[in-house]
Amino acid sequence: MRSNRRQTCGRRWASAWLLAAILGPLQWQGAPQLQGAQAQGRYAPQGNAQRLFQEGERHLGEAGDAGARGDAEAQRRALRAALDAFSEALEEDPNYVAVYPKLGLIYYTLEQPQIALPLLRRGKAQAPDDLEITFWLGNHLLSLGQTEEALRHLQLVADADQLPQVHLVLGDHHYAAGDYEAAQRHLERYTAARPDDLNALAKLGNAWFKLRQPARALAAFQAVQRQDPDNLLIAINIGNAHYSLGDYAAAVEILSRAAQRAPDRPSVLFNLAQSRFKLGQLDAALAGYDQFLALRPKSFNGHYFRGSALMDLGRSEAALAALQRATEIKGDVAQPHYKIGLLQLRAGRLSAAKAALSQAQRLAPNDPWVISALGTLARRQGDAAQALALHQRAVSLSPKAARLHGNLALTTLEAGQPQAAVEAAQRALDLDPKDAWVKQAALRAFAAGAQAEIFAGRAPEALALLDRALALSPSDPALLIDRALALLSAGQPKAAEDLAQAQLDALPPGSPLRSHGQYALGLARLAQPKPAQHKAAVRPLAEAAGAKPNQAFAGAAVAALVAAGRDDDALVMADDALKAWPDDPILSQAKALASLRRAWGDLARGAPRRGDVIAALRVDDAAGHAWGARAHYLAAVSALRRGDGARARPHLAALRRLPRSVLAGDAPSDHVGYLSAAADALQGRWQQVYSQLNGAPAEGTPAGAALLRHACLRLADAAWGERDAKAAARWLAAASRVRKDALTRHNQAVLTFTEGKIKKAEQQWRALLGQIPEARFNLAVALDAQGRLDEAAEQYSRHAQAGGPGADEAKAAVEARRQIFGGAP
Amino acid sequence: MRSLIFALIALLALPLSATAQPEAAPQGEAPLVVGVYAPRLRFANSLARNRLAEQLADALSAGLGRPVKGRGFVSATELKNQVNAGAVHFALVEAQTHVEQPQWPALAQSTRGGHPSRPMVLTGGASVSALAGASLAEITVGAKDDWFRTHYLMQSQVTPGYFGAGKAARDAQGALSLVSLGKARGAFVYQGDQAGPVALTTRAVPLPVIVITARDALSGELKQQAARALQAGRYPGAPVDGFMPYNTALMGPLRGALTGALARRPQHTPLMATPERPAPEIPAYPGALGPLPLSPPSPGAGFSLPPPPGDLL
Repeated sequence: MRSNRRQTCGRRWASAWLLAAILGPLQWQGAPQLQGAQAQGRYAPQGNAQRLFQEGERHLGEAGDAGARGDAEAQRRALRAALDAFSEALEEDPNYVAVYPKLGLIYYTLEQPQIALPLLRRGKAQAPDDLEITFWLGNHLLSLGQTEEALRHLQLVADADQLPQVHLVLGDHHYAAGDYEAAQRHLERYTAARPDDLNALAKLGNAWFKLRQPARALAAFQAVQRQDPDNLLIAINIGNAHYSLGDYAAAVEILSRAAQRAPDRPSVLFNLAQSRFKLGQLDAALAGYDQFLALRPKSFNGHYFRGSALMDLGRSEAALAALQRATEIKGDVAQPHYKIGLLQLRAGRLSAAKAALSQAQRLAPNDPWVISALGTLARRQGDAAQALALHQRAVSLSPKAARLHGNLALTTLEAGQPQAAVEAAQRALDLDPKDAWVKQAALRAFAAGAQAEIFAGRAPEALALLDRALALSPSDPALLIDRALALLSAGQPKAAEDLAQAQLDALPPGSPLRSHGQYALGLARLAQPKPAQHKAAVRPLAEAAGAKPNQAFAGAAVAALVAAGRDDDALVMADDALKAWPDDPILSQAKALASLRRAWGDLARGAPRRGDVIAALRVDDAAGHAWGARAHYLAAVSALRRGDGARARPHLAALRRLPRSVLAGDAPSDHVGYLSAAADALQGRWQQVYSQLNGAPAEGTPAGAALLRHACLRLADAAWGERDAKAAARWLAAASRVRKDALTRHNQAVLTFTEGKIKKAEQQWRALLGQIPEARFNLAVALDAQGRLDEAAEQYSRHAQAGGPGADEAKAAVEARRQIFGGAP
Repeated sequence: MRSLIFALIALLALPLSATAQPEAAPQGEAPLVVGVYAPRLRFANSLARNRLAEQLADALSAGLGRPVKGRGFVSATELKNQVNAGAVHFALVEAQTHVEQPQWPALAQSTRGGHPSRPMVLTGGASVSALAGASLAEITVGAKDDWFRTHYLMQSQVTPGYFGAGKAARDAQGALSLVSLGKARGAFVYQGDQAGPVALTTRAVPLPVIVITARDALSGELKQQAARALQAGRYPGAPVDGFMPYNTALMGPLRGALTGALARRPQHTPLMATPERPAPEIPAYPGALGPLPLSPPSPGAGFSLPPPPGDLL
């Protein structure tokens, strides 16, 4: 609806429509005219001048008639005649100011503002308040581009509110200058006075349209159409107004008819295609764009929207080509680069996507969608921090775009900030609760947020979030299973069990959600106090772990087996699962505890399996000191029973703070002390054994007494080895105090021998033959000492044959004798 | 002796032209003397003993470049007297003598057939038991002849009175003569020197040793020169036919037998009886366990998140 305006030497002339509107067919004889009373009171001209004035009026009327007939030449002749008559009238009577508006009109029509301007300034000087002179002065100044002065004069006329045409002139001027609000204001006043001026009404509609008030524009266009139903341009405008109002169906209907009437009118084809595009009639829209491009092959919009339609049709490569063509036509528009970036992103060509999106950002640095797409690209590239920053910037630039908030929610989720994701998702929902994409993003954010709340131990918050999610999708089985898990976390295992069972009953057999339901069901049973429930938890948890092998499900299944007391099965499963997740703390702890319990049972019956003992030692400290102490107790006892004092020692050290409750009630008070002494004994640390047991309660037990006596004997032996007979005597005395037996008597005979009482020693050793192996050797020594070499040789020989301590020495003695005497001595 | 050393020093200090004279020994210088007193070696007669002494003297003389005389001795007393008189500077003596006279440092170890020791045999019977209480010809060497027999040769397997009262002999030849004359039942002689049945072949006995009887006879360098000369010497017809560097370890058992370490009775020390390596009783008192502190995974781990809506593309 643009005015046909020609521009000559910088002057802008009013359109024919505007001229006609100003003048009007009835106004040629004085238009625009003020009310008669005002005119009559002005001036009384001289007779000749008046006659010439009337002649000029008559010619003006002729010009009007010729114009109405479309006879331009006759009109021109009539105007020239009128001009001559009015000019002569002014010559006759220079004060005849009524002539000036006539001259202003004629020169305006003849497009001769340079001639008109001095005349009108003179008239203005003579009659400063004359609105008609002022009006024409303003018009001619406007024509000459002297806008400021022109508007000052025209505004004076407009303020007087006596010449409606001035509003048309001003409205047209402001519209052309892009000041649509001023244009709309003047055009409204004009059309109020001249409601039949359809062109003015149409222009007013255009002004509304430009002011983004399509409803008011539509009303104006429809008012014109009622008067001019065949006006194609008005029909097109009505179609566009419907398009702007989002009534694409109406737009398509109207523009389709317009396209039939004007099949070669590109704007109709384009707007129709646009409307169809908006209606989702992508194929039809694509056809429309193709038609349009056939007429305007170099149209940027044509290629851009064609590419957009192809993009929405999923024809990515064709879309890329169309959008690429658009960028070739007009490279400085961000949108095609943005869409190319999206297509490349969709195709997984991240480098190409980055190039296109970066170009789009250079062209539109603050476009939130471009920035959001860059954020999505960063998310794809695994740069969560960058993605987050970009999506946050996108929503700050366009805080009312729901999807941008939704996108931010997804990125925030990826960045491990579920609470922030929930907030972003909620904002997105608040902005556009019907957007399916936004809803899906919100569902995910709410569920993830609930999961995080559970991990944080805030079950009520988790339940609240799940309820928000369920409000969006009330029968979603995944959400309902999640809710069962949240109920469990909230300490409502029975309610959780019921909900989980109900969901499992409703799920089809092959549903991937079944494992989650079984997990919820199993955990709910495990959380209940009855052992029967624990046993019943095993099956669903084992099935869940089998159907969906992951750490949590495996850990839960093993935990259920442990809770059900099935340690053997638990250990088999734990070992298997630990191959896949060797660092899983629950599996490790389950294995450690099950091993400990099995070994603990074995300990009472005999020897625990070594693997169990080793595994039990991995009991997590978090389980409490008593459990660690039990493991060390197991390890210490096992090592000692294997005779490995060195391995037992660190475990015994760890048992210093052994809680009494770990041991059975009948355990001796210094049980650990006795075990330490046993470790020392196994390592030959006899002095420590003696220190540990001498005078201790354990000395009173058979095992403790035996160990103490043994230590004394060993210490005596060591002293004897160092030829410290006194010390040896002391240790032997100590051993005798514990228990006097053949061995102590034998060793005391050694000391007797050293005192020179060889005969007595001989008798004692002889008495102990058969009881103490060393007695025969010592008997040989005693005989040797007495020079009874043959007897000594016999005893050496028998001792050498029997073996045992001193056998080598005895053999050497026998061999020496054999060398001397040959054969048997 | 001091004059001898001075003479040697003077000799060494002479210019080469002087030492290169055919008769190196200055006029009037007393020759060194090497004695032979090794009664357990069997010499056919005194001449044979003296011949070995001369052979030793020749070897030493050649090595030292000065006159050395050899002299045989038939008794320890005579040798000691001559040594004390400064008339004997070196001597081939029994290993037992070398142990008994620690003030005489060893210069070289004699060998026979390349070996520095040789077993002895007890002659006169089919077995040691057969000679119990019998009178043996006993070669007189030194103060510890009994210890030598009882603890070294008999390895302490008999008491000192196991054999009867012995008949003293000056040397191996004399001992064998006593046996052959029936004045003794048997004798200990080096293997190969015996006649008649052998009751016992003993462990190897170190052969005689050349010792320095005159403390200041030779400086360190000359000692080595003398030892090398002895090893280079030739001793045809002698009961020892060569020399090798002296080896202390070879003397260990002999020294043990003669100094008491191997001679004491009893030869072994009584043993303390030690109990078997302990297998201490290890009682265990496992208390009741109660429920295991095992928490299952978080319920949150079982969440099934709704799928994401897809990238906003």
